[in-house]
Amino acid sequence: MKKFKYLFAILLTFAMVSAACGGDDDSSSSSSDSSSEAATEEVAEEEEAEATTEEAATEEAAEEEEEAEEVAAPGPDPADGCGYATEGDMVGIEKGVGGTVTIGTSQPFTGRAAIAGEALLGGLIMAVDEINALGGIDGCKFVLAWEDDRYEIEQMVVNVRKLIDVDKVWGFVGTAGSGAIPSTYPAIETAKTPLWGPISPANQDIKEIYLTNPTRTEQGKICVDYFVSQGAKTIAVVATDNEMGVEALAGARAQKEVHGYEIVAEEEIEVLSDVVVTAVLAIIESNADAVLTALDSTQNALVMDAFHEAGYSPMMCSDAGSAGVGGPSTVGLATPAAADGYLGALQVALPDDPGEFVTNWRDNWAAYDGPGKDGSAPFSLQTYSIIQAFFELWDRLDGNYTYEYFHATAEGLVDDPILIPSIPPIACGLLPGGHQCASGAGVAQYSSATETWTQVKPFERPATK
Amino acid sequence: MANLLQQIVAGLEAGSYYALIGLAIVVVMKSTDVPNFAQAEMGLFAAYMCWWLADGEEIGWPFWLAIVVGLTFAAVFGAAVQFFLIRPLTGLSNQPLAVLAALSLGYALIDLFQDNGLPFFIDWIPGLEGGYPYGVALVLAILCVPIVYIFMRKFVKKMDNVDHFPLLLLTIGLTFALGSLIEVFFGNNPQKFNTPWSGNIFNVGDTRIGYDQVISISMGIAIAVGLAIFFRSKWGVRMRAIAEDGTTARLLGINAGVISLLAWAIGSLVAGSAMTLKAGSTVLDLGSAEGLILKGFIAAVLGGFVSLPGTFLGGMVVGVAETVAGGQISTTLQPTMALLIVVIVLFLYPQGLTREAKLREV
Repeated sequence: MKKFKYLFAILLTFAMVSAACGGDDDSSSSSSDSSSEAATEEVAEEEEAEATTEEAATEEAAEEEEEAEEVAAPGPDPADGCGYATEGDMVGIEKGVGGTVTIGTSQPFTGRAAIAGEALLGGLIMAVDEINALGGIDGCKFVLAWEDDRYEIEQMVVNVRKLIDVDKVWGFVGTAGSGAIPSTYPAIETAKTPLWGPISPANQDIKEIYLTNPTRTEQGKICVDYFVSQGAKTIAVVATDNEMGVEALAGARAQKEVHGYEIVAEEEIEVLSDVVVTAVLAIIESNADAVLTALDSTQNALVMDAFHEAGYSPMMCSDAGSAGVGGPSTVGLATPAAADGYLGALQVALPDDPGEFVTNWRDNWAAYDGPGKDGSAPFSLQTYSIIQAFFELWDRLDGNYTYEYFHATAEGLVDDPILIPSIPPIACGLLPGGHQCASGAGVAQYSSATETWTQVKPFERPATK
Repeated sequence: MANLLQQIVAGLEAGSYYALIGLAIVVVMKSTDVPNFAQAEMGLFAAYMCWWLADGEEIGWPFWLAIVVGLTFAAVFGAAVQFFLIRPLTGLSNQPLAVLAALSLGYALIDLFQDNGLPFFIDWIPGLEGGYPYGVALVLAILCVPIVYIFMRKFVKKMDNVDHFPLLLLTIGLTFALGSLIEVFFGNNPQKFNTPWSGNIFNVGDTRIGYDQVISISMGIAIAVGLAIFFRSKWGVRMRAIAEDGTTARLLGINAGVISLLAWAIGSLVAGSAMTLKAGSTVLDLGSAEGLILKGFIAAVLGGFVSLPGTFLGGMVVGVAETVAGGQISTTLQPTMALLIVVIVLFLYPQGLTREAKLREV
């Protein structure tokens, strides 16, 4: 009896092991006879088909459940107000219905450059007031925090730090002071605060900085291209002994390779100095056909007067800011005969442009009565244009105002540029090089007889070989 | 050659501005024994005043009347700076400063009381909230004037031991304050100051020379000669005596306060003349004084801070050297030329360019 029990147990174990292994393992099944194998396969196929059908049904059900969950879950909803798609808290963003975005700027509202700084600030304030009156963007209204830097580097750094640390700005727009702005970059990079459209430093390939204006080097190239188109064979450069001068000189030297002209004089004038006579005499002696200048407004006027008194009348072109293109800030300091025919690079359309965008700006500026109204109006068109591009970009963010998403969207503009009628297309891309978002400039000429500026060269990229 | 001559003339013109500012610094130095860092800015204030009076869009007075009134203002302003601000720091009475502070604050308080009423700690008293009518504000302000006066007299005491550093810091502070005042009064835009000789030139051979250049150089020489004559007069000798030994001079009965007042008036007048001439030749600009004060000090250093001929010569040498070096060698060299000259001169003549300079420690 005991032996029978052992035999039964062994057989049972064998049977269970066989059953467990059969059908799942080809090798093991291969040991079975063919008829049983075929039958087993049929059964297995039927079972697999049933299983597949069941799995498919299960997956469909799961997808339906997920879809149902998605519809039911509280996702990004514009009705939630400002920053509706922004995860978590974001500096400078007051989320929710009636929420705000705080942006900042530092401008030379007083001091030597106030005639530009006042209007640059006025353009920004005017645009912010307008967009807020229209209800803002995606539920956000804008708050502009601004500080006066008097065109002093130290003050600009203090301002930028204060705007970041105290006013908690989300980002900066249109900060002016080309030579001084790079001093603020360490603070900006540390805080990861974007700076959109500074006026008009050189490109340093910094993640947070998006340059929406052609650089001085590029403006210099455009001036020189115009000189050559007018038949100039010899060119002189007179520039201040700082970064502004270096940029202009780089433009003249770069285009020399393109056009093959001769640079017959490269003269320097000390920053803020009005002792221009040495440089002027050297240029007169060189008898250049055209003169590219990178000076401040006063120095440009003094050089014009000195040329005129000497009976020397070359073509003379400066970058947009120091030429005060569109207004009297530079030409008004020179005698009318000396200023006649003076050329300036154009970063932005002339203020009397008949287009709809500039006409709208002109009407609004005429009605504007806030801070900066006393400045030279063409400068306000520049910041007004820059901040309109920023508003367009803001609209494209669709409520997600994290810096990561902002950079991703901004760096994708190269494929879908922002088109503001008064400035070249804004087409930022990836670093390196991609944050120089705009390229090309025009040239305008001043007439003393009519006291007006006329565009003589359309917005174009500099000539290349 | 024509170009070189033109560079020399331009250098003499620039040098005359440097020399005049240097002379103004030396005149003040002779009386108050303080290097006045605000000298060019004081001159700029006067130049703006001349422009404001003469400009057709502002007051529109005849040019010469505007110049006379503007430069008179310069002299009065210089004297006022000494009378109200410098005196307490040179061992003299602080009474003028106390009066000025009390009256100024009283004037400011009228607006304050009109706009805001009394301070917050009184404002909660029923009937005293918010701003007041002009009459009430005026009475309250008048009541505050003696309080401020007494406070100033008691706590801002005259310095018993005259020290250079507070005076030095005062003139530096005055530079910034004047810069802001000019901006507030006259705006921040550069201004063209047209003179009867603006844009007029004549030729000497192939060299074109502007009337403004000739007038600037001539005025520089005339003012330098005038100062030299003044310092040989009774008042000039007293000024020199104060500069050499203030204590002995006072014991001899020389009124140091009046001498100092006179020196500051003359210094401001000379600086005003320099800045007005420069404005007529170039442009009036908020930054015009910045570069000039450095060159003025260089001229004064070359004169040992005491010699008028040495200072004048120093200014002219710096002007010509930087212009000619810039023209003949490179304009890049131009800004460093003045400092190079100072270093060389101080190595060779540590006490200044002239023998007179040896009378004083530099």
